[in-house]
Parts: sequence; structure tokens; C-alpha cells
Amino acid sequence: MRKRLSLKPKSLKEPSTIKRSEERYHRMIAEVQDYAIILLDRKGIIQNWNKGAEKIKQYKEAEIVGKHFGAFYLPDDRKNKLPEKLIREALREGRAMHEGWRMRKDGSQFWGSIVITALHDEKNKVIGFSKVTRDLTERKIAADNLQNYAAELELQNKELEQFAYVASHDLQEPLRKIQTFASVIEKNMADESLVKRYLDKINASANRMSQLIKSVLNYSGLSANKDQILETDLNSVLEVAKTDLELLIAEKKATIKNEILPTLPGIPLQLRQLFTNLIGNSLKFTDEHPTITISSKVVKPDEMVSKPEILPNISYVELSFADNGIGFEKDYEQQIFSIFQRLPGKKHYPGTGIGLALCKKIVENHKGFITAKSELGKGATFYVYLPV
Amino acid sequence: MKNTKECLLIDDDPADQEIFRMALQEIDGSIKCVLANNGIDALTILNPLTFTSDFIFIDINMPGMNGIQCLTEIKKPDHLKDAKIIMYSTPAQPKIVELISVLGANDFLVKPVTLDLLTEQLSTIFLN
Repeated sequence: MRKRLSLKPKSLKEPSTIKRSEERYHRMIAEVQDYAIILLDRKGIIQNWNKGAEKIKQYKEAEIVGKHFGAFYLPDDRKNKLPEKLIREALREGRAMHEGWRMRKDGSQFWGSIVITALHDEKNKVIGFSKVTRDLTERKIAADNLQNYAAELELQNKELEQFAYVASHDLQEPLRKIQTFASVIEKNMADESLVKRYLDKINASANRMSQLIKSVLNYSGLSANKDQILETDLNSVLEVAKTDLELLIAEKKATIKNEILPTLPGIPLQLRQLFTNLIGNSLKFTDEHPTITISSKVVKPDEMVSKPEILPNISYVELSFADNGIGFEKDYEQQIFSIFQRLPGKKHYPGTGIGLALCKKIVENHKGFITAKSELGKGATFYVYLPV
Repeated sequence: MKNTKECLLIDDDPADQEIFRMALQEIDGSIKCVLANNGIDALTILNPLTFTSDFIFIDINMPGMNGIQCLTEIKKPDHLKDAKIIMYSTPAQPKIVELISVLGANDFLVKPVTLDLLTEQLSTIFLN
């Protein structure tokens, strides 16, 4: 027969009144649903249970009374003797407060706010503890989400700052040239052939600026709106990209080989841009008879090429785009994805230098990443990793 | 004692090279200007046996080896320790200007928007 700890009323009343008061207290505690209010003995063994405790921790009274309250703690916390630490603190200070992840009967976790209070007899000896727990999981998740959101915003702001700096800087170059060319014309108005030549240069610079501005708008318009994500068949994406590039493909007499590609969640329009940019890039930088091979396979992080340091341990689809073009030096493997970055000596290949930065942004919008492997003169292979 | 002035311009942009040449023509038709498209070519030109430039102009924004890296390389060999180096570029952030000064450049010339301004700036440099 288990000895029940009872709360003694302060004033002496008739036995029946005392019993009724006791009953009232017990009922009050028993019926509270939002707080688990339980009694522990000196060693931390659970003496009783209430509706709140059952609701929060899922155990029924018969299953848990008589067990140690450490049952609600995560294995690591139990290893580090957290329950014992809290009991010692309650003994010392009168009470102990804590917030942390706890475990329900089915193993799922909740964020609990706990107060353990030491209970004393008339001789001020500790006879046990009361433990009140509140489930604050929703609030915790909301707070965490807010923190993540703030961190993301900060990152985006930094990116935007950098982007604005690079964009405005690179746009100023052609503008300055236009002004300088105009001043040259001013000084040589009588020289018709010079004037004609410099007017052509001004036009070329103006066109270049227009191209840059369009690509900047395109890049900045690439957001990762969750609403746009659909199951996308990459084979159709490839077909559309090939249609986008059909003139260039015909002109260069190019061959595009591909395996059957998977279907995965993504933003169709952006994936189309990704394919068009990567294939277009390879076509552009191959002088004769370009051959582009596109393959795919499912990989785990340790099978990846140049993976970033922090990566969730899930499976990815690896899409590789290999060409037989002019390639680039190994040293530039990371740099080529920077915005407006163009390789040395490649000024006679047209372009704004934004294509690969665009690809990187699109892949990042899909929570994936992109890397490249190349050697000068030996073609290049681009690896796109997308979560499956 | 050499009378004709000589300079080396390291800049990947053909339009900027042409403008530079035109400005030099305005100052003094006899000023000799050697052009290098990038840092690597420049270092070949700056060979101790053939180097005779009075001034070296380096563009900061070049693909591949940029101007800052170029400046660092040029400052290494003995025969170039006292070379007069002028960084020639679009407006740069203060910390870049500070950096090039620390790395040993003698001056920073902002690429002007008109030919006359460039001529003016270059006269000051060449005729002083």
C-alpha cells in the first residue's frame, strides 16, 4: 500500500471538513489539463498523476506511478544526470526551474517548462517534490522559426549589398566609355571616319549596358517562392531548353546526348533557365562540333564532387553536363560562379558573365548546389545537385 | 640621360588602351607607350634587361590576375623596387586605395570620363 503524501490544511477543522477540503484539492489538481502537476518522493519517484500529465506526456496513471521522473528526459540528458541535478537544486534552493526538450511515451519530443518545488514537513524536512510542467512546444517552434527567418534575412541582405555593389560597378564601365568616346568625338568633329568609328563604339557600349541591365533584372527576379514548386519532369525541361537553343545548336552542328532524366520537385521556369544556361554556355565555349552529354544518378553526400562542408545527410540527384569545349583552369572552378565573372582571354566569346551566377542562384533556390570540374583545353563538366 | 619618356600600360580593355594612347599623343607625340593585356604579359615585358619605362600604369579590374595581384608581383624583383607605379582604375573603395598605397604604388589615377581630363592628369604626371 503506497503512502500518499497529502497537503495539510493550515487550520484545524472537523475531520469531515478536512476530508472534503482534501478531496477538493485533489480534484482541482487532477482535473487541470494544461499543466502536468505531479508529486515526487525524495528520490524522484512519481507518486500521482493528473489529466495534464497524461495529456502532455501520454502515459496513463497506472503505467507511470512508481517510476522515476527521469523517464521523461532525453537519453543524453539522462546520461548527463540532468534530472538528478534539478532535484539537488530544488533541495538546495527550494525550487528548480528548467526549459528543454522532453520525451513523451511514444518517443516524440515536446518543449517543456518545468518547476520542481521541494515540499517540507512541520520539522522543515524535505519529504518530496511537486513538479509542474507546461508544454511550450508551439511557442518554442515559433521562436526558432523567427530566429531562422531573421538569420535568412540578414544573409539575403548581405548578398543584396554585394550584388548591388558588383552590378553598379560593372554597369559603370560601359557608361564611362560612352562619355569618353563622346569627348573624343567632340575634339575631332571634322574627322568623319573617326566620328563614325566612335559612334559605333558608343552604340556597342550602350548595347552592352542594356544586356547587362536585362540580365541583372533577370537575376534579381529569381526568388524561391514555395508556391511555385511542382513535380517537374526534367526530360521535358531538356526538350524545351533544346528548343530555346535550336538556332545555336544548328549553327554549331552540335550533338546533345542524354540519359533518361528523373522527375523531381522544382520550379519549372527556373529549371528551364538552368538547363538553357548550362547547355548554352557549353555550346558557346566549344569551337568545333560541340558534344554535350547530360546524365543523372542518385548520390549520397560522400559521393559528391566538391561538396560544401555542411550538408544534410539526404539523397541528391546529380545532374552532370559534360562538354568538349575549351575548358578553364582548375583555379577558377569556384570563381566562375561569381556574378559578372568572365575568364581571362575570353573577351571574344559573347556574354555578360552572369549565366553561371544565374545557374548558381537557381540551384540554391532549390536547396541544392552546383560545382564544376575542368582543365584548360579539355572541356568542362558541371555538376548540379538537387534534393530528391 | 634619356630624353623620351616611356611608359607601360597594363590593361585588358582595348578601348581604354586606345584612349590612353590618344591622351599621350595630345601631351607629347614622342612619348612611347607599351601595352600589356594582362599581368603575366606585363611581367615578361618587365624583364630587367629590357625594362626602361618611366611609369607603369596598372588597371585594377582585370580578369585573371587583377591589378592588386599584379602590383604585388611587380614589387618583388630588385630592379623594379623603385619603379613609379600608378594604379589606373574606375573609382575604388577607400580600403582598396589604402591597400595599394601599402603595397607600394606611388599614385592612384581614376579613369576620367573625358579625354581632356585624362590628358590633363597625364601631363601632370609626365611633365613633373
